[in-house]
Amino acid sequence: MSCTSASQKADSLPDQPPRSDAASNIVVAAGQPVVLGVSESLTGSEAAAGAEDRDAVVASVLRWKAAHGEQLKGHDIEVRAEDDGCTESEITKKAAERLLRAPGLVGVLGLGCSAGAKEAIPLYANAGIVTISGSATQSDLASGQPAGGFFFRTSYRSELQGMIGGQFVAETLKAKTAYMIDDGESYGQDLIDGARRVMESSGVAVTRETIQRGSVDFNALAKKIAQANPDFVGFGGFNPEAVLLYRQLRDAGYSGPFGAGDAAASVLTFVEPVGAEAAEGVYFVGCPLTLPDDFVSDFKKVHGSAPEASAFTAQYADAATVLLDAVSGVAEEADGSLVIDPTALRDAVRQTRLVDGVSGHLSFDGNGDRIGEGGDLAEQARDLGLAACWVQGGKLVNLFP
Amino acid sequence: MKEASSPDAAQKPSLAARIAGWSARHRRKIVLGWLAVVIAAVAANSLFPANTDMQPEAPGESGAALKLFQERFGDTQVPTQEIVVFSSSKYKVTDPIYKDTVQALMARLTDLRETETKKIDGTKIVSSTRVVSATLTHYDIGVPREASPFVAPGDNGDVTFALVSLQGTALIAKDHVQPVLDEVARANERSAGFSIMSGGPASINKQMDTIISEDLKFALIMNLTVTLAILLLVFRAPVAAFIPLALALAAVVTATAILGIISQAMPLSSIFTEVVLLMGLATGIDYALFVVSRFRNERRKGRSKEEALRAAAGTSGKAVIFAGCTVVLAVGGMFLVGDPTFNSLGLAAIVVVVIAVLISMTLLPALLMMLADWIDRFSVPFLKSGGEGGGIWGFITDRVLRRPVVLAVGTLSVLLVAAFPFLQLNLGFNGAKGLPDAVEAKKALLVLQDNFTLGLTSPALVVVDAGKDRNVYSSDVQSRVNQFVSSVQSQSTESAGPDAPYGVPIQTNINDAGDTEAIRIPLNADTGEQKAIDAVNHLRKDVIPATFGGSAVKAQVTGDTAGNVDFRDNIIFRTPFVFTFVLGLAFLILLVTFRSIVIAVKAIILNLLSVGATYGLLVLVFQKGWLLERPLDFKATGIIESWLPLFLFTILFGLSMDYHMFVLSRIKEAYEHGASSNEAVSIGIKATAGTITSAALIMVAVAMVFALTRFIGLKQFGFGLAVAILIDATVIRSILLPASMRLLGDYNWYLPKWLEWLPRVRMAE
Repeated sequence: MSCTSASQKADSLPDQPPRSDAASNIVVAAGQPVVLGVSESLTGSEAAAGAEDRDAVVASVLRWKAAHGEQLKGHDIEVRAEDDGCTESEITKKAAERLLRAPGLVGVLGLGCSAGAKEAIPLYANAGIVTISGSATQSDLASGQPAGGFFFRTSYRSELQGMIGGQFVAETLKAKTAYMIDDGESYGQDLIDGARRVMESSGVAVTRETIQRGSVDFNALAKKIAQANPDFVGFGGFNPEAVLLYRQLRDAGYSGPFGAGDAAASVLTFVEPVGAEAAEGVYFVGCPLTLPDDFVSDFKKVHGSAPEASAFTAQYADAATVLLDAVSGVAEEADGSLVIDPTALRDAVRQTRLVDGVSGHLSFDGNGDRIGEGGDLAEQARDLGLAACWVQGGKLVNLFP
Repeated sequence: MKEASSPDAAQKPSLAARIAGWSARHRRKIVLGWLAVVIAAVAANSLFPANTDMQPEAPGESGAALKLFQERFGDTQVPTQEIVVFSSSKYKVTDPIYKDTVQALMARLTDLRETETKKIDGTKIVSSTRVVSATLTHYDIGVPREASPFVAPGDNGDVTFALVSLQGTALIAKDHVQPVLDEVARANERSAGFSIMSGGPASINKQMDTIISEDLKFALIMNLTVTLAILLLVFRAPVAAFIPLALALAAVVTATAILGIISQAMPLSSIFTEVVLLMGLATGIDYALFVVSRFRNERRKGRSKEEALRAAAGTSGKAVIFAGCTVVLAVGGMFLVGDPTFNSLGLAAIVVVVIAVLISMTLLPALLMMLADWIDRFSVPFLKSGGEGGGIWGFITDRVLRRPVVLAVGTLSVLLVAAFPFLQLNLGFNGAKGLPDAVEAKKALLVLQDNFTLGLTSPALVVVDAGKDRNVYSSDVQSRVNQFVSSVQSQSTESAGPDAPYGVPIQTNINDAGDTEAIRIPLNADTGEQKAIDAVNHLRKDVIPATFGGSAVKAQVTGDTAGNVDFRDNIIFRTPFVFTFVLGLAFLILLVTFRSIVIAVKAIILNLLSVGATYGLLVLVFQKGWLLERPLDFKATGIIESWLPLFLFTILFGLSMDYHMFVLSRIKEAYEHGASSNEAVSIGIKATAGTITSAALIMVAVAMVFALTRFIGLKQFGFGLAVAILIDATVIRSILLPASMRLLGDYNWYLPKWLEWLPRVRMAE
């Protein structure tokens, strides 16, 4: 493994307007690399997970090269990651503008978070650039995207995540009453709405609450819940809000089970801040998948340690493979250049059938959403790479699949 | 009282002479072996760069609070703030142009990206990250101009500042602040009618690093040049002059490599290389100088090269071993301070001194035997020989031995007067005001001082711990925090006027885990000023007990000023232990070496006199600003750096003991050869005068180069070292030592009968 690194302070992007014409071909000039963009949060509280998603893309590119040769039709492959600020949509749009100025950009792996994705998807669609997110799970993100359909995702939808969680609360935990709280953002609302539907249809009495993303003082809500003492409290949102809500619930005297979604399912940002002892028994849906040994081994060879910060490592690894396969399939060589029809590339991605991907079997529906073939919820969860887990001894231990 | 020499002891060569003899016989192997070691060391230095990522540990309450803060907030949860100051003599913040100027710059700063490029297995990976995570200006807080903590209104124009949050801690942020500084500089050039500057912990750290690095390069070049020049003057022969310098550099390179390897397991302070250079040059040159001088003198007396080497190794070589042991013990006192920086520097000094001793015991004899009289080749004809006659020092010694009481009392009085200002020593840390003018960030800080408070860049940080598994948002904790903030607010410049102890704005952050709150309180003074120290003490002794007392909530104060207060207290607490350790062990070494209680006690007293006088002069020059502000280019701040006296003491004690050891060993040698006590003093001092003067001259020059650098701490250190060595090599060695020995006569060699069991160490060969 040869690795060299160098920091460069100056911005190396050309001073030109971002690509904005979906009809024009993508051209990778002779001698220039094929650029895979990555839009992920590389600073702030989501930095560790975002950086690991980028690293999963890099590991996957190297695996692809090992299988298909050093170059893609005579061109090197370059990964260009932009810090997208997760839910800071202005930053996500800036990241999109920057990536769209990168010569040789054939597609983008990202966007990292649903709130930012919602704002940036039209920019990429306008430019005819395929984006494949492994982590933006808001339910209507793909179905509600602008005409053109350039957005795909290898992750599941929040709604399904919520439904799986709701089923677990109703059937396994046998809860009769529950408080279900979202963070006021589309990801959290989706997740909790899905859970609520399943729980209510199973006879669970659900009280719905909303907090605001970024708020920190939940004492009043915590007291109210502690007094009601429901059989379960669920939260749809990110850390640190999940951490703060959980701590304040316990401080207010609520001692029943607590669960949250993938955005909070992290040893680094939930278990460690709360403390292993205090976090024992907390449930999550959307946990990191048990990764294939060969992928973990390759990842370690490239990055020095096994992935542990992101719940979506597998989904990003597969997203990179899907994009490279599609580019390789549709790119045409002309005088040393590569010419790619954006529509053809989009269609090639849509027709992908990835068997034995890092996150399982993978294919997309007409909206760009990942689809499973299973009949019931549990089978669908397995097909879509959706796992549930709980905290045991400071670690996330998978409950299913 | 005078001991009879044992015939057996006289005939049997000493260990030092035996090692030298063996090295001389195996000279090719020894020289090639050391050459291989040095080449390996050079390779190791480039292949395995030293790990200088030593984490400084603050002592006491500030250390505990800082550790808690780092654990609970990590590197990312509380950003490092750079302060951008806007001044205008014609626009007010309410003018649209002012708003546009501020907001345009903030937008550009927010847009800044830093790219890192890696190549893994032929795949290029470019990662572009934000430099600035957030900005906060007067225009973001919705407060009128007159009530804004961000605005200093003026009759013609206003001054305002913006808080620019950088990613990571100050140590991380300093590596990423340059694009911000460049953008601010461009805005300053573009914005007519405005002066725009930036300052803060990240830019100060970065600019200080640059200046120190430049100054140390300057010091290295100057030191090598000056040292070679003085050695040429001393030896008049390029080969002889080059040998001590080459051997000292070999010790420096080898020690640096060994420390580099050690640092992989135990990270060292980033300035360890400077200590290695200083101590390596000092001891390496001294030791070689003493042995080479003796060798040449013995050759001049007509002795064969084997005899000359045996004499040089058996006398000066033996003294080198004892001197090396004393230096090692003296700098070993640094370990008692219990501070990682002192540990690093102590270890660095010990390793290089041990290597220097080993080189002078093995490589030097091998080289002397190999080169023999070649070391005098290419002599420079117009330079005079030093010889062992004593010259001016012989003249002075003769006068001292004739009138010991008058000169001893006179000199003692002068030294005590010089030491007197030490009683007014004000230990502390030089903050922003002590920064060199070359630090661009200082300009912004001075504008802040004039219009807001200098303490904005070095606030007190109060870390509020709700307790295990407790919620910092609970009403009990929050009401106490609010009460605390209100109390401080009522004593801030906003409420209590410009002379209040605290500035504004007071900022609070709660960690992501929700169990800890950090409150940043700007102190209305520079870090080391008494006003800032009083403000921290007031928080600790009055405000915190009044608001958090009697609850499970724990509030502790850290930050630059609190850290400095605790560091100073720790130094003051540890000083007696360090002194006792160093002086006690030095006493034992001297006692064993010279078999005399009087000599041991006297050597320690004389050393303490030179150290005391040095401390006094440091106070006069750097604390009170006497005489040398202009020549040394600094402005006295009334503060001597807290770390300096103890650090200086250990280094000084080691180095000055070097000279003492050589003089005393030569006196004892003469005494063992049958000279009377007074004759022995005269012979010993005259014989070593030239060599010690040369060695001291080199050290004074080397130290003075540090006094000419721009960082106030290095200036104080260089000046202190130069003065102490000057005092030691002149008045102590040429007046107080001979005078006291003359007065004590044979009592110099007094050893109680119950100590007769001590081993006999002969200085004569």
